[in-house]
Amino acid sequence: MRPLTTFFKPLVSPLVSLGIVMALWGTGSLFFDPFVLPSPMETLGRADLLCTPEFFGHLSFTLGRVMTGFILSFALGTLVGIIAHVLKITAWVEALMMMLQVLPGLIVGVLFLLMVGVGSVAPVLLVVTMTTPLIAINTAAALAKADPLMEGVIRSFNGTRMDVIRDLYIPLLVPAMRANAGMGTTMAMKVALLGEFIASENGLGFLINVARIYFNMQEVLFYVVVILLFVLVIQLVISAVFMGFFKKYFYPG
Amino acid sequence: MLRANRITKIFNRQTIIDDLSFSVEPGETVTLMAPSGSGKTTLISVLAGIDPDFSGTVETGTRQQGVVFQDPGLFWYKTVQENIAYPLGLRKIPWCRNMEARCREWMAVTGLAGFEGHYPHEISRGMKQKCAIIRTFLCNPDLVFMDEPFSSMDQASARLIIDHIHALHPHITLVLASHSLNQATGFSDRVFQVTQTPISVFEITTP
Repeated sequence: MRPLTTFFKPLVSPLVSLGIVMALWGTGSLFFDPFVLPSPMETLGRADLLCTPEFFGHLSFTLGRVMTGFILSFALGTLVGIIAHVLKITAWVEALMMMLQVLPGLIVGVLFLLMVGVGSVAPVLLVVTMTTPLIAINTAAALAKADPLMEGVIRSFNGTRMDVIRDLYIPLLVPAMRANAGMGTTMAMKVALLGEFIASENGLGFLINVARIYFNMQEVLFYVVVILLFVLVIQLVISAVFMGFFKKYFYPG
Repeated sequence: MLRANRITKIFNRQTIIDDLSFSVEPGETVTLMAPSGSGKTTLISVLAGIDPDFSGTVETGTRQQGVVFQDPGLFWYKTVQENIAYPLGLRKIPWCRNMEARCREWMAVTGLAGFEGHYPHEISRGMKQKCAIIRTFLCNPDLVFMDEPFSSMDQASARLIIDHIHALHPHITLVLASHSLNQATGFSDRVFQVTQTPISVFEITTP
């Protein structure tokens, strides 16, 4: 029973959250015209959109951009966070990353569109620009939690710098990486959609833009639900991987 | 043996230790007794070689030395058993049958038997401290620095541990730091009392 519980337990809170969002949406839809805010049932009635071959093409473009952007920003953000900690310039890097973080995605997206044109590069660049600061700040903050006493303990047993990195810093990074993966993929999804909305001729963001132009809110919201479900699945996979393989690193220090 | 010669330690422009010299004979147990905040931990760090940023010299002439910190300093992601065995891995000491027997004996004496598979957050502070003590002594050191090692234990447990240390390591040199007069006089051959800060001289008494 234990593995089953371990698997299903992380499902509870996201499903409850989804239920709450649906309930709020349903309540809101009672007060507006269906052309403005269709109900969840009306929206889910557009499931036929899933059956078109074009949809999967657009979906694969979006997921490809999200994953490419996320992997690049995860690697870059982690590296920047580590370098900031090692060189003891965390405050400077955090200030810089904070500046990047507050840049409006819409403006940056338009800039990338003008620089590299329509296609996949602009959304991916936008994901990297908007997600890297978040990951870098989080990584540097996790490393700053390293207890000097623990370093002293390792050194008192003739531990080397490599031992300190392996036994102190890497275990500290695991929970940060889990948080980065969770926040990073969500952010990457949002930003990739924005990028596609502005600077692409395919992807779910593009589909949302087209549906918006025709004021087809059912279709717009249907794509949003699809995205929401994908993000949920990604979060569950991340949670399962980290809690399955690295659970002990999440115990209180 | 431990010989500290003209040690001075300045931290944040404040002198913590000022031209301190003293020596401890091999096999001796001494207690550095000082009020909280007077620099005992800093002195232990300097003597144990953890803090290299000081002037003066420290000679130990020991084969293997260990430190028991005031805070247990256990790895939160390792079990009690894994924490205890940690230094063996770093020092490339094999986990042999003899080691296992010694570990089991230590666990029985400290009351940790049965908690081998527990993680630090699942045991009390006193148990964590005992775990840190076993971790240090399992490597068979001949000089050990202990910074307030019994602060979260009752006197009887502390006595039991000290007696076990002396039974297993009759020739060990122990340098304890404590602010408790009871522990200082009960466990030591000599008490080095700090009467002024920065630490520059000890008032040495024999209990």
